[in-house]
Amino acid sequence: MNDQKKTVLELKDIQVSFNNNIVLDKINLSVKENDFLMIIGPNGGGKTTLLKVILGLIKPDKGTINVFGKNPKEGRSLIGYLPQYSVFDRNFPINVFNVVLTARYNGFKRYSKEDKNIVIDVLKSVGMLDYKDRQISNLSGGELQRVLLARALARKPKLLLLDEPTVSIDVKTQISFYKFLLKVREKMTIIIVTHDIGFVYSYIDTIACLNQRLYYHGPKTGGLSEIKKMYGIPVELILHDTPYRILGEHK
Amino acid sequence: MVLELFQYEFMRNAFIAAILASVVCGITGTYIVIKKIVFISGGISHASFGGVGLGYLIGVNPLITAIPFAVLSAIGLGIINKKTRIDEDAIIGIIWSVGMALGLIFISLKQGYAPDLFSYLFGSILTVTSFDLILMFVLDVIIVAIVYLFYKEFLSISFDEEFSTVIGIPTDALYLLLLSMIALSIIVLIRVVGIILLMALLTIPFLISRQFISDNLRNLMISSSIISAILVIIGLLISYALDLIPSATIVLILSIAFIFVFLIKNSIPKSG
Repeated sequence: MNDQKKTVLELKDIQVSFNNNIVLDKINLSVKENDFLMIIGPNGGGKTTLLKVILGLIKPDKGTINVFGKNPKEGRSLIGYLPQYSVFDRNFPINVFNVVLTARYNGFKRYSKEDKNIVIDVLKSVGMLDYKDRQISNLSGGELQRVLLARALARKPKLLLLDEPTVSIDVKTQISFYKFLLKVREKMTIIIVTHDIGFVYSYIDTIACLNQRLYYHGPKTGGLSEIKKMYGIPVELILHDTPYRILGEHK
Repeated sequence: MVLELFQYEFMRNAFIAAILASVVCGITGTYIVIKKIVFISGGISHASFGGVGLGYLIGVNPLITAIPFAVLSAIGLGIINKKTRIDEDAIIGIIWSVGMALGLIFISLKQGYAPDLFSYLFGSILTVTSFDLILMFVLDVIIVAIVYLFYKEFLSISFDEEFSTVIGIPTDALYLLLLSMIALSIIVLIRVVGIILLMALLTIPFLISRQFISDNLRNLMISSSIISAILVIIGLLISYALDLIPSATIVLILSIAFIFVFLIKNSIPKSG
């Protein structure tokens, strides 16, 4: 069945280095339509770099990338991107509505009525419409995260890239965040990168582990022991809703 | 008393200069503070002294020759910043001093004493000429036009440059345009408070209005311009009444106003 799906993203032999330090090495990844992929790895393992390669923000030293059959700079118009939230100045003088509206940029022309309606719709879908006139410093971490998700969705993307989406929010909000993604995934492919492996949810199709090299496992129960190898410490993985151990007790 | 002052042409010119300067203080100052490029702007300002010196040397109005110096150092800073891995603040430091050094060399090449050198370094609002005013006006028009055309792009790149790149905004080109606009704004301010003092005018009016407005860039620009105009004129009048140097008085009035507003605003308990 998987074979009938179109390939959305394809990375072949990607290598990236900064100042002669190899950050990503021999990365091969193929993601299909409506996949829900979680890439986990330790801090400094190259997760954000990988997303930036996909977005065409970082040019790899070697290898090829295909985003919707195009190069990243052309293909990224179909990508919705949720960056790590720490990159923001929370005091920036902008309200929620205008944050999301920036995503509707489409060349020199002014934002249309339709753009504004789309913003209203996505804010409603993430439950933040009542906050639309708030300045962003008056939002909690979870609220800001939902606003940034709305901004990513306002592009009407076919591929959603989420960088550490749950790092700054509490567990309860994390659960509702993932439940929301479950609804969204019917319309698009989702890739999450995170170092936070406390929760891996049952509806994530595939897990890949990234620490300079990428270990792509396909079905999620496949090679979770790789995680242990990569982190170098015993790791417990808990499934959504009914927590139980996938891996055997580490001794 | 104020009306009497308008009998003097130099005083009329000073008032007009104060208002023309305040337009850029509000608009450009807002971008400088929110995009956190105060020091880049300081570098551009000092680098423009090279142009002032060149003007002296070749006998052209120094403001005219300062324009290419300021714009080129702005674009140079922007390109080095984006395309190389050299630390930004180190580059600012270099361009800052090199511009000043060039200015000094040019001035020393010209035989004789440079009488109003100080007026470019520390401003001389009372000697602003009609030509200066016309130049300031033209630059104001250009700056307002740039912001009118690129308001949404500038907002986006100031808030989140990386996201802006991803959604297809030509961020690098717009960043260079923003820096060039800052360069032109600096030219507008040189006659009013001088190369060395002008950063106060580009930051303080915004910081004052930021105490009252938190979410709308356009309103921040307008209110910063108005606050700037009021405070610069107050400074001008006080300097006249007390026979103080206008530029220094203006800067001190701005600082006092900021401290005053900040203390009042932050000593009142927040409601809600």
